[in-house]
Amino acid sequence: MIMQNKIDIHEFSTGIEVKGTPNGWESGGFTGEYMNRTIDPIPQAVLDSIANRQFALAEGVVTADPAMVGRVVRGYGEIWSVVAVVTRGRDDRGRGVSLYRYFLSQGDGRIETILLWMGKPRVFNPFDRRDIGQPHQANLSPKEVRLTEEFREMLNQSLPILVPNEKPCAALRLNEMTRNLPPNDDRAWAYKVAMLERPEYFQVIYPADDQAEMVIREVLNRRQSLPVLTSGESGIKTAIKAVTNVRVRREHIETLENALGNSQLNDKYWESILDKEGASQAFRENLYGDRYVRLLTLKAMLIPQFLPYFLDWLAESKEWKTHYATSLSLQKWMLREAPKFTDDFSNLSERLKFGICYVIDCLVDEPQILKQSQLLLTDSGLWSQLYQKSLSKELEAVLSLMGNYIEKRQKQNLQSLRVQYPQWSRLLNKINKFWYPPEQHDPNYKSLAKLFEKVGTARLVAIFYQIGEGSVPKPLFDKLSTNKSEIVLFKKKIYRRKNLGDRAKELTEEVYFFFCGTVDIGGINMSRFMALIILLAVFTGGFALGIIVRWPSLIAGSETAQIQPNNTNNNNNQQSNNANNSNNQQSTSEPTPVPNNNNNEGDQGKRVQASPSPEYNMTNSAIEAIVDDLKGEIELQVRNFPENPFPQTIKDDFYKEKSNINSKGIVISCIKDKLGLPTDFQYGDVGKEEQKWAEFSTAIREYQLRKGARSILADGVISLKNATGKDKGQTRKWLEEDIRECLELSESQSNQPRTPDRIRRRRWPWEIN
Amino acid sequence: MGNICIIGPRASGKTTYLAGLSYYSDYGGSSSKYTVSPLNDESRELKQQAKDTILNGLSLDGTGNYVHTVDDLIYYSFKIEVKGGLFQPRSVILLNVRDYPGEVFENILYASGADNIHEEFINECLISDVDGCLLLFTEWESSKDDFYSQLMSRFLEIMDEQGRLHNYRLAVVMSKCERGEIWPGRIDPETDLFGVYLKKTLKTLKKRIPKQNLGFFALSTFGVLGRYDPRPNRDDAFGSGGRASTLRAPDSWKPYNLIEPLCWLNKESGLTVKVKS
Amino acid sequence: MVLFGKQKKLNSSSAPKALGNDSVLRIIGDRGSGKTAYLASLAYWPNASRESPVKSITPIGEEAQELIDQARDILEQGLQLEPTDLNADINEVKDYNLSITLKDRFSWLQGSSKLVQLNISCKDYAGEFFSDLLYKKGDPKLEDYLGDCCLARGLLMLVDGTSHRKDNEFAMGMEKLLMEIERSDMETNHRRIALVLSKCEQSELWVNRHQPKKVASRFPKLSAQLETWSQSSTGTVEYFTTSAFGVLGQHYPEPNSMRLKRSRHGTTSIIKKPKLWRPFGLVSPIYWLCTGQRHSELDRD
Repeated sequence: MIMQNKIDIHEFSTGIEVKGTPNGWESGGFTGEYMNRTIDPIPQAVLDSIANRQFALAEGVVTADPAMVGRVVRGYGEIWSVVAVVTRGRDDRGRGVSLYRYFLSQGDGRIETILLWMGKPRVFNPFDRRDIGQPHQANLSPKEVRLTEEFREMLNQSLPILVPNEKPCAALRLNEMTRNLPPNDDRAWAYKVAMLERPEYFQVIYPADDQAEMVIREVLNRRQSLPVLTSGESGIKTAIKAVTNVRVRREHIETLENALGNSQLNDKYWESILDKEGASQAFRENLYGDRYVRLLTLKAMLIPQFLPYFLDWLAESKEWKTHYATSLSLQKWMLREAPKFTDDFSNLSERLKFGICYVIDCLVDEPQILKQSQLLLTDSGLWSQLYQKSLSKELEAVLSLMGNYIEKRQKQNLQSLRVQYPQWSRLLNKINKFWYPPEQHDPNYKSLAKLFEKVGTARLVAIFYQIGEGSVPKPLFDKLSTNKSEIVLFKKKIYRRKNLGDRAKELTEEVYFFFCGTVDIGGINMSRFMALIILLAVFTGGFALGIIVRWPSLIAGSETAQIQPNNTNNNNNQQSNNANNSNNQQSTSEPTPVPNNNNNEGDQGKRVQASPSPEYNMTNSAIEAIVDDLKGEIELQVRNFPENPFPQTIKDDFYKEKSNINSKGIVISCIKDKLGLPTDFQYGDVGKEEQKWAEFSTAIREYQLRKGARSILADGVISLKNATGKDKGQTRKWLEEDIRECLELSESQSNQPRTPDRIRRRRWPWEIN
Repeated sequence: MGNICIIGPRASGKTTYLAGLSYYSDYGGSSSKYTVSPLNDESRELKQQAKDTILNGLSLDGTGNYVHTVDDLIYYSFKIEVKGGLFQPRSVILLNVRDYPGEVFENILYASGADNIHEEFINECLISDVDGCLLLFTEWESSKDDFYSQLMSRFLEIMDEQGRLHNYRLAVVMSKCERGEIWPGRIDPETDLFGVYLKKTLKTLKKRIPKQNLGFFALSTFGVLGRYDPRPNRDDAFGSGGRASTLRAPDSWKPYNLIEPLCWLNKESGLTVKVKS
Repeated sequence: MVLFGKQKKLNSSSAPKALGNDSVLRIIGDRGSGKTAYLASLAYWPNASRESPVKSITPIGEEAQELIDQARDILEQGLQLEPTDLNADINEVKDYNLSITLKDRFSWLQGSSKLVQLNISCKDYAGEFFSDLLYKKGDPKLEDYLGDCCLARGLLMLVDGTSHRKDNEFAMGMEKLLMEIERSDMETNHRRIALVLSKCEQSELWVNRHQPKKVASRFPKLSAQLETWSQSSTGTVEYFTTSAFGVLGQHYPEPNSMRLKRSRHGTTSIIKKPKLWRPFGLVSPIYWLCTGQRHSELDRD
């Protein structure tokens, strides 16, 4: 028993060259190693903490009494209680030097023991030699420290607590205060200090005098906004510095890898720690020094969303190739240090992968980063390695899965695909429309084709040429199939681009077909040529009025299919077709995702019984589009916060089953809320009952007016973007924003590269201050 | 413009010279041909002291008393503005002067190579950014000529060792020229003072130092009583700390030639001339 | 949706031209030669003159910001900086990043107000590094430092102008360093070493501040060492005089420093009148290290 009550107290001191003087000694310079120590090696967690300036008193301020800092340090699976006694010495240049003598004991809650054992502060003494392996022994004799009411009250203050200097206070009492605070990772106090280098790292501070109290208060105010430190930060910092100085070694990469595994260190954290090295500043002010290129390369590795921005930042410089070479040499260096990068560093690899996904997604709207993206994926750097190794195959696999699901109309699978590959969900959302009729293309996707062309993944090139230009250049197409003019890729038809010969042939064919094709007029099959003659005869003759009276509807009927307004802008949105076509019973080809679930509310919108008004159809499809837009985010939210993804107002049976999230139900609840409709309002009835629709429409109108729409535009209809609606989809945008807010979809999600506005001078989501 | 040293045997009036120099511009008012502005605390202190010593007769301590290492040597720093004459433009001298204790100078004859401190002192006054020195002599008895001559040959040797023999200006000065025996010789000191009393020394110097780097001057901090009354304006007394001299008639204080050696040292010339050996 | 390329800023015309993109510097020198004070004064840039070609000096990142804190909270309060700690890990050494914007010196010729930017990152080694060069051999920490030092193309060797009695030691340390530089397998890049004499507010140095070579000649062996090196290799050497504290007046150049101690190690002092704190010549060596050209305007008072 007696043995157990003894505990070891180790110590070590700042290492200096001791020089004798007539009055004693002075420092002849630091040795860079600790001296008079009883322990070797000194625990890494303690060293890290010291390197983090967690014990550091600020320079230049002299106090007569020794200061003390107490702190419980954790890390590397160990806990140490450390007390540092700080005094001021002189060096041979006549400068003041802060000299530290550290006492430490393993375990939490040993600070008290150290203080009791020490009695009066044992100050730095270079001649107090110690031997390694011979720690001090102290009795573990707990002593009760009572906090008076006065001190107890102080515990309610915000941290760090500044104990007023006029109140007499002992180090033991400060320690007791930290013990009585709500439990926290770090426990630290400072006693009789003039100033601390990082006062924000402490919980309780007892200033040396009035002046000190003032100064500390002022500095704390100045630094309020700084993020709180996490243990192990110094290792991360060192790693970051090593990367920016090209002296990165495997252990630095390991540090970063491990830190990425720590869920507490979110993107905000990485933002702020990289900003400490000047990342945002370099980005904003276009500083292209090698160091900054490396720093931002690292940022693009750690924060995937940043990668497109990084490429754009490069693109802004005329010498971007040189700068990318700098970045590349860093990547190569890292690969050399860690040849099996993808295997050994899964967290990092994952981030790099996601980064590429963001780039691919971004490239659709931001073609100016094309050249940089091409280099990123072709030169033998980290990103390109990852892309070649796994990502291109993954993308192909995802595309073919999507093709399959769409073909088989497996909506649910399509959704789960998005959930399974959140990194691709954005792209999938964007491009799935191309798998639905009508056949369309969007030139924005050409840059993706060009990207994959450089990278050399033929199938991807082909599909994106098809999406971007409506056909695939012949040489490329011939690689996939030589003798056909169209093939099916990822369950989507792709066409060979027609060269001049093809075009001529086609033209003659068209002329021929025009005249020789048959037309069904009034149930009579005849050639067009004939029909034309008849029509001519009819119109010019003018004698058969009766026929004209009978025929116009027929003529008009045959033409509606061609001159419907939406077909002229078929690039845009198939949903708008749907809105108007649903009259014509074309719902079989309806491409709008329809949630396949049992919930009434979400479900009923589809089953239109009476003939609903076109306004209703437009509104309904706009709502479907909103659901489509938000689905990915909603699912992500549920995944990220399985406990409580949404505010109380949303019924939890919409998302109880992770695999079956009723996004539409959720969205509609929000819409009702925003439109000020009662919760028991059944959206499903809107399509059935004229009156319900009127009620709904009025609510929309009021909402539009509330949002500041001009009264002529407040039409009580939610329209699709650029479609027939008067307000060009503005109401839909408002609603979408409001729903995001209502669902508390996290900011970073809603601001992801989808809207990567070029806002160098605006605030970035991950930029602080 | 630059750094110079003042060296010379003990009691040759080095500190008194500096004190007189800094104080006279204030004291003499418009009759002074120059103004001296101290540029550091030490110089200001010296000026203050000058008042106490020259006018009130408190003795200046020997400089060596408080100098233990070369770092204790004070750099007096002045800005001297010399008023322009009829044909002379106004000139400005920034002067940093180190006042060496006489012992150091006298000891160069006896010092062994191992005497680090001593060596440091001498090195310090021959360091490359020191342009030259003011060499003060005060004793003119022929018996001293041998000693001075030996001293100077040793000094020249050291100069040579430091590579300064040909790029170091020496203003050789006979101080305290208010003394009746030498007052008439002030007009042409090279011939009438050094050529008469310190022949060997003169010869030694002229033999080794390039002509343009060698100047001879006579100066008197106290001066004489008046133009037609060439008695020294000085009272010698023995004060608390030893010998102390004060002005006999403070009202007619007119020092002689204080500024000229400095102006000569300041002139850009000999330093750039390279002598082929 | 506003896309991020559509509002390209007016890049070429208004943005400053960056000179010497890769301006990685190391500042070395004896303990107490004034390295941290040099950097802190540079970052703080107190009482800037409007005539100075330096338009602005911006700290980048947290550490450079700390330099400013040190300048403001310590130097400007008339206190002394503490010695820089000798870090065991080279990567923990503070790396200060500053962006210095200069008015283009030929701007009056071109009739435009073009700006020139120097983006430097400068590691402040503890002075112990330099003395360890002399006395330690094969020490892994020293090797790390040396390796890191060789990464930099520009070395700023800071020497307290009044520490001339240590010329011998400096020359020996420099010899060792130069050997190491020669040995480092970095492609034969053109390396520059600026011999910067600090504390030139001291009157004996100030008088010759416009003749830096003359002041450097107080260190004959060190200068000779550097000269030999620059003649025998691709490196170049240049001399500068600087003062972190400056002098009080232009006409009466009294040092703006209060001397605390002087020894063979040089001079220790603090600022005398913080309100009149105007450093001298701090940017000139950096400009030269970054560009290889001497900017005469920067050497002016």
